[in-house]
Amino acid sequence: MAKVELKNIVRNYQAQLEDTALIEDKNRPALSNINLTIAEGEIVSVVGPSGCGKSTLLKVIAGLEFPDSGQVLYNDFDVTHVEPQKRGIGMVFQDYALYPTMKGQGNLHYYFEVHQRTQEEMDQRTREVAQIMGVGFDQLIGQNTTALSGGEQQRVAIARCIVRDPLIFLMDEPISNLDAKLRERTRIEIKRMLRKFKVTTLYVTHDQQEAIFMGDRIVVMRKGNIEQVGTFDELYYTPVNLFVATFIGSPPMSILPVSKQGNTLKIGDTSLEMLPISLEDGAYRLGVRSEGWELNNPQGVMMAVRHIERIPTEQASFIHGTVGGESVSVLAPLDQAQVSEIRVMPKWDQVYFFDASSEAALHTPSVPELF
Amino acid sequence: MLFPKVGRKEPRLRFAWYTVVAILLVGIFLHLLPFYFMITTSFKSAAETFAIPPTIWPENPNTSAWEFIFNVTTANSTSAQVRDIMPQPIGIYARNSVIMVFGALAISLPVTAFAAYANSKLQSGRSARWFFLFFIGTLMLPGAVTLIPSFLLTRNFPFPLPQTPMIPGTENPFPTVRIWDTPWAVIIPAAFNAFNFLLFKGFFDTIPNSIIQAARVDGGSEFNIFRRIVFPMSIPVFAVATWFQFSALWDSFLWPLVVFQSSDQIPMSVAVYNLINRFASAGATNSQQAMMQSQAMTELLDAGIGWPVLMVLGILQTIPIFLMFLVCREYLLKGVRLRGLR
Amino acid sequence: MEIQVRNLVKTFSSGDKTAVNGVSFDVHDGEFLVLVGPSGCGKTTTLRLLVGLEDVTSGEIRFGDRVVNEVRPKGRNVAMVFQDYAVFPHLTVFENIAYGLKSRGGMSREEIRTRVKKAAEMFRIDPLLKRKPRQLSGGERQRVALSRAMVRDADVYLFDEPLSNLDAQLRYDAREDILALHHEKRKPTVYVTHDQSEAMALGDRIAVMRDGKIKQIGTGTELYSRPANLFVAFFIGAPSINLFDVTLERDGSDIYAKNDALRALLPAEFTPKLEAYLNKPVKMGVRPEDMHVPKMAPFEVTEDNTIHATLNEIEPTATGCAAYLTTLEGDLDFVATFKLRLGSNYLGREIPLGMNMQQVQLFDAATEDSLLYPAGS
Repeated sequence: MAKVELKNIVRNYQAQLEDTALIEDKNRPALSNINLTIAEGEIVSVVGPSGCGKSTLLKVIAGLEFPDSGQVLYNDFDVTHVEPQKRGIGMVFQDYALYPTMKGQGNLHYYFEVHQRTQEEMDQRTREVAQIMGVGFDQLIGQNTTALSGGEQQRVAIARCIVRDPLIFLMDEPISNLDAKLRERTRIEIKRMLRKFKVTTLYVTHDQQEAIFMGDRIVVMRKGNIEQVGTFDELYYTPVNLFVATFIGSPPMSILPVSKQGNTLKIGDTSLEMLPISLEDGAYRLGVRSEGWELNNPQGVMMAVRHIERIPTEQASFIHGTVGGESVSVLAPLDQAQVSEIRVMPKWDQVYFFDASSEAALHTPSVPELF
Repeated sequence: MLFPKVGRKEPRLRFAWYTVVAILLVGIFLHLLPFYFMITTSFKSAAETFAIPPTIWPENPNTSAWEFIFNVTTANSTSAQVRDIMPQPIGIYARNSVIMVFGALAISLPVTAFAAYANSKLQSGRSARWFFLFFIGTLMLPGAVTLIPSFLLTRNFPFPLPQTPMIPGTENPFPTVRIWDTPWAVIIPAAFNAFNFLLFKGFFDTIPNSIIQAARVDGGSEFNIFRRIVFPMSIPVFAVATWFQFSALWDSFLWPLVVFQSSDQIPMSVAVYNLINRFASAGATNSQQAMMQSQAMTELLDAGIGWPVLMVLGILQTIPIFLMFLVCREYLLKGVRLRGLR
Repeated sequence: MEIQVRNLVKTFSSGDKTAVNGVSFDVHDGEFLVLVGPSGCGKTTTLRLLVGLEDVTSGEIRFGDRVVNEVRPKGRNVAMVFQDYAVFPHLTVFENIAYGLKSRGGMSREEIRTRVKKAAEMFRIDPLLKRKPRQLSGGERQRVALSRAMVRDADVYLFDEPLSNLDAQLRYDAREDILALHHEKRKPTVYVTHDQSEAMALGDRIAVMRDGKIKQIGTGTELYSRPANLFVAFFIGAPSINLFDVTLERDGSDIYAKNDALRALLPAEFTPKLEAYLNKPVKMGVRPEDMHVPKMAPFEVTEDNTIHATLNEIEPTATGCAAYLTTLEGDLDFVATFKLRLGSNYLGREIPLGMNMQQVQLFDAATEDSLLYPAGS
């Protein structure tokens, strides 16, 4: 179990033709000035769009890539340039990365063979892990890994990670390649296991739902920078900028250009009465989440309806449409009638204000008190 | 798609399909014809080989040519004539071929594979590309251009110069190694095969980096990773590379001709060439040459060496390649089966 | 024009795998049908049979009144969007979109240019027309693939998991783009995915597939409220429906579903359908959203519809939270979703939850068929 600290990590792109990064992105570092502390036993999710540097971050922590400047510390011990072989970590990859010429068992044993451990230790650890992984795992590891399905391969990959009792778990989008339904199930199993082991874990994903489920804290990244770190509530209710606000929450928050005059807010041609807030008059961007709209308010602004998506499991539907040309999604009851336009009013205690040109968040609702 | 799975019953497609099959059959027939001819000729009597039109099936199949060869091989050879023509028993030539080829393979496969692995997985970015282009670029040099410098290298290794240069400031020449007329003259140039390098690198590129990274996280050293993980995965490629290099080396002719002189060093390919050359050289430009040629031919015929014997030699030269193909094919298929056809 | 598929079977020549095993469905004119199911269920193979990339082993495919089994893809006039977009890397975006038009011939350059521009504008990639695919992000490449389908006048539009390679964030916009394409063209469309929420969001009707067969076809609401079998009930809805092994026992004129953890009274209107299953093994399905905190339940919570469990894990969602629980008796794991946020002070505590028995599903434990809404009812 280890505390992990990153100080001022900078990592430049290694110019490779097959990089998926866009041409504009080649002029910036893959990671710029990353500072992060992960407490012992904490599970941290790292989430962000493709190309944001989350996988590179994981590789720097693992030692598979060395940063161009900055420090990586395990328990206050500088491991920045220590090779991955010597770091005592466990890692699960997106494509499972099982050794194809060995059976499942061989995959688990490789670590022990390379470190010249005894046969008894190897067998004992394998037995322990087989028990943790559940029924049927013994048969699974007796087979060639290429004969297994995606979900089974993933389980072997996870077992390989835990069989060596590592200091840190590093997971790089481990369930992205699975079917949606399998992902749901595997997610719960992984979380349960992580809770049981209480090992410091870093979990990288592009799916924010997964990130929210897995992590005690969530790190949101974009273009090589950490935008914000916090619990789900902190990110959801008090985002530091427009990017975090629109990234967390689905459907994404609607952003509308507005201008404030005293207690009146002008959206396009409509003027709305709002509650007083401590902001100067002027132009801003208003952020409203789908649950932050009130339906059928005659003083509200007109929304042109494009399409109504009904979701029985949420006992709700989403009205997708536009207000003044900007995309808006509004939460509505499941039996919402099909209409071509509807008047909506923002709930003023749930709105966000952003600067009109920069991305700064100027006013956010605070985390709601339930009790 | 030439033959899509859907719509095969259309008459235009059917016609195309049958035409292609017919052409392929003709091609196969023509390809196999020389081998057939070679085998049947080895069972003919010497005189029959001169018959016009050539006979398709030997009239009285006999194994005299085969017996001749084996007598010579076991070195209880007969006449001085034969010894004059073929100074060593066949076995010696075969032995030389084997040393040459297996020696070269034993060094070339590891060297080339390691180089390709390093270039594919351990180097990255610009330096990797430059090294790759450099090695592949050597393929573009025609053999004729490098022949003479290579020859000089074998005489004064490591200087491709006719005369060893002097150590500056002294009267002594640099120490050199003379690998000319030894098996090393063939083994050392073959130690790095650019074509196999391309093959290996192409394959290693398809191994996902995540597998190597997982092995590093597990604690394996780079060499251990290659030995335990990458190599078992690459058996099919090794099989292909081995077979290509084996058949190229076994049949290689010009280079051994250039670097070997003593009769107990030449490999089978050169020995057979010498023999055939004496027996049936073409293009005499004056009567004296023509007389010398017919004299040589008569000598050989008297010694009992006619076309059937030469055909046997040809068959013996070909069989190892065929056997090696069967062996490599096994490994190739086994590797493919292991990987699964995805 | 309508698509009609009858008893479609596809066996691969290696003999051991019947990928599609007697599939029949109709796609009405202008309808958006989604084929959904886990990996290996045969949905992609069915789509490929519709395009003409695979040959049919037996069965019939009709486009309108034309049987198209033996017609090659070009002759079927279909447009397809692939999972990996299949964008040609050596052509510019413009040339990619124009490819189908140019290769079919018969259009002037002016007309091609107009069409391509219009399609590109619709998907917001007109500033990118001169770029090469390697200069585009994944989402942009996907829109190139959509534009390529948009530009054609195909009779049928087919989609093979076009969103699975996109970041979760981009999928919302892409869904809107696909629906916009469908609204423009109004042609029969078949869409394949493994994600049931995508299916529910996009499809007019949804066909749930498993092991080469269609388990049920219907609208999203039908599949959700009246699943014909256990697989459909489990597959549709996220988190998945909770399944409990129960036995049905009679108490006077009432029927109860009973196991170690609960004894729940089933609504009277179900009784006629359940009589034959008394004392037989039955599976009861209760959806996570039909579990309620007793104080907030929209129905009366009594011991006859309560389940007692320990709270293990809370996952916050945008509208509330998902709770992962284990029953006190019988140690059964299940999930409940709420529209409110439970604080972490509840973790490890025993809480009672009320189940909405009107929404409950019941299945034959052996055949997995629904007892309440069997197929054909």
